[in-house]
Order: sequence, then C-alpha cells, then structure tokens
Amino acid sequence: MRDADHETIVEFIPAYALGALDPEEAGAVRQHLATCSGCQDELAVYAAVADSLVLAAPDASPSPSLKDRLMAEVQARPTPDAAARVPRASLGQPIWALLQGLAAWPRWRPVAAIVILALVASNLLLWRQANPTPDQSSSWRRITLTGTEEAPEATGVIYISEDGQKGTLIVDRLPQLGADQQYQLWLILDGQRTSGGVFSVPGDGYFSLRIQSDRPLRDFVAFGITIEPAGGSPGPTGARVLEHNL
Amino acid sequence: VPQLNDSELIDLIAHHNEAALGELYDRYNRLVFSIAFAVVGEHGAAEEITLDVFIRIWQKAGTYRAEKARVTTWLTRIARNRAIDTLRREEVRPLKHSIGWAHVSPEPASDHNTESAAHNAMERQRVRAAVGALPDEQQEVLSLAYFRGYTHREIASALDLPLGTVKGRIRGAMHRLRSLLEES
Repeated sequence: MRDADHETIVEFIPAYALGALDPEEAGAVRQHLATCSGCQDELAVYAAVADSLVLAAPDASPSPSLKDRLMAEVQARPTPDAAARVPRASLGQPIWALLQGLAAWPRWRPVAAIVILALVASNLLLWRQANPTPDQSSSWRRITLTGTEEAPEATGVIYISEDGQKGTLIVDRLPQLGADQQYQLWLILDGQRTSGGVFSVPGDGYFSLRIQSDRPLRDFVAFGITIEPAGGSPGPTGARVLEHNL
Repeated sequence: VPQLNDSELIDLIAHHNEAALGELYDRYNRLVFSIAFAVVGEHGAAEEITLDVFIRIWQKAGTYRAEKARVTTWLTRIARNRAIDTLRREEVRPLKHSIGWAHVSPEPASDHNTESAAHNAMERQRVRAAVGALPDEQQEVLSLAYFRGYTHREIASALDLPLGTVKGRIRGAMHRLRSLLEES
C-alpha cells in the first residue's frame, strides 16, 4: 500500500473504531489493516477509547423482576451434558450388604446397630472436617485442592452448590498432557473412588469442569485428580496431581 | 461465586451454572441496560435487549476469549450492537429522546463495597470527565455515532452539516478523548 493511502487510512481509524464510516470506507480500512501492523496498533488504541464510552451513558436500571425473567428463561432451556460420563463402581453397597448379613443373625444385631451409628457419626465428622465454615456471603461450599510433588504449581478449587447436589471444578497451572493422556477427577468416600469427570487442559493449564456424579457431592469427604490414559480409567492408576485430604 | 472474577464466572456459565449467571447479571445489569436505554430510549425495549444479551451470554459463554476482550467490553459491545440493530430493524431512528452524555457527579460510598466496584466507579468518572471536556459540537456528533450507530453521512444529514465538518468533529473528538484518557 502506498504512503498516501496509509495516511488516508490512519485518518479514518478513529471513526472506524466508532463504526461511523460508510461501508466503502470501512472496507478500505479493513483491507489495509490486514497488512499494516502500525494501523492495527492504532486501531487497538481507538477501539479502547470507543469501548470506554459506555461508561459515559446516563445511568439507568431495569425493573427488579427482569432477573426473575432471565432465570426462568434459562431454566426452560435444555442444558447439554458438559462431559461424557465414565463407568463407576457402586458406592457403599458392600458395607450395607455386610451389615444386612450381620443383622440377619439375632446375636449380632446389637453389633450391627453400633457399627451403623459409628459410620453415621464418622461421616458427619469427616464432612465437617472436609468442609470449613462456608463464607458468610455465599451458601456455596468451596473446597481447595493443592498440588502434589507431581504438579507443585497447580491449584484447584471445587464449588458445591447450596443444595449439595451439583458442583464445578476449576484448575489452574496444570501441565498440558500428551494426546494419549487426560486428567481424571476422583470423588472419595469410605476409601472408594468414583470418577467425577475426565478432562484436558490447554497450554495455560486453566480449565473448568462441571462435576458428574450420581450421588450428591456433599456426601464425599475427599477429592483427587490423577493422570490417566485418554478417556479415563475405572479407578485411579496414574500419578496424583491435585488433592484435598482431611 | 461472589468472590470469583468475571472470567471465572464466564467459565462457570459455559458449564451452565445458573448461580454464576445470576452473579454476572447482578454485577452488570445496570451497565447493559444503560447502554440499551441510551440507544433505544424506551424502557420496555431496553429490558428486552438486556434480557437478550444475558441469554446470549448463557448460550455463548464457551466462545468467550479472555485474550481478545474483557468481559465488560464483550457484554457492552453485544448490548450496543443489539440495541442499534433493534433501531435499524424497526427502521426507527428517533431523535425523540435526547441522547446526552452522563455528567460527572459524586457517587455514594455505599455503592463501592468492593475494591473492584470502587475501581469501576473511578473509571466511570474518568471517562465522563473526558467526554464532558469536549466542546458541545463534538459531544453531539459523538453521541449520534455511538448511541445511534450513525455514519458520517447520516450525521451530516441529521444535523444538516457539511460532510467534511462532521468528519473533522468526529476525528477531533476521538483524538481529544485519547489524549485526555491517556493523561488522566
């Protein structure tokens, strides 16, 4: 592009950033921008100026009921599953089968009752230890995951919804894996590990995942993330990179 | 959720987290509504645009790229484009309501209950002061371009001014704003 054209285009850039050029002029600017890094920089500056103008719009507020309409609209829309589910072992069934067997024999019934009471009490204690006092401003539970020696810089957090049913995992600074491996989240209760989802992270190691679980997330007492073959495993097989332990 | 930054909220929304959408709405419904109302000048239409914007965020949060724009920039660009599209679609380009710029005014401290809210309030005052420092004729053409989506030619026609005059005022306004915002 000749210098004279460049000078003309530079003059157009402020109006281009505002969207005030006629279509022909805007087309000429777009064409020039594709090859001129100086004009791209100039446009970035004026685009920021144009974007800031929203702050000078006179203040106005919608009706308070508009939020209710928004939430009703989104609840009425289908929500596709975020990640494929992974087959998992059933939870707690072996323990209950054992207790039912014990209770079938009259002389062992008192023992079964004591074991049940002890399990309930220990689960309550574990749950309290695993979940520090919730923040006063939010009824969501926040569980922090810390990096292991395998990924000392990695951090993670799990948010569990107010009703304890749903949750989201957010990780940061996890190393990017090769195509043959993925990370897998494990939900832990009574020593059993159930998959909460399989995921990969981009180059910056930041990713969020809606946790998959048939059981309410509030029931689990510990969480871990391991490196597994792509697609995930029925149980953890690889190195643990993030964990939340009692 | 209230402790998360805007990008983290968008990540949660991309995974269909309704609480995160509610939080984003609480933070920015007034900003989105203000730009929509400034463009269309009608409360009901501005509410429909605000609703559209947040539903679009719900549907498209997965396409957000933090390296391209801040969340507020993304939201307000969508809101402004939607509002201007509404005007064009209905072929209503009213000059019925005045489209002046907001003035700088002291804001109650109670509005700034977080560091981020206080920062946003300062930024708002900075931009309003810069726009307020422009000559009236530059503020007028700038408002027609920004709030109406008018081109140079349309502004010249609306104000019955020579095209070259309008181009000069728009360019002058943007140059001056750039300097004022860089200085402050």
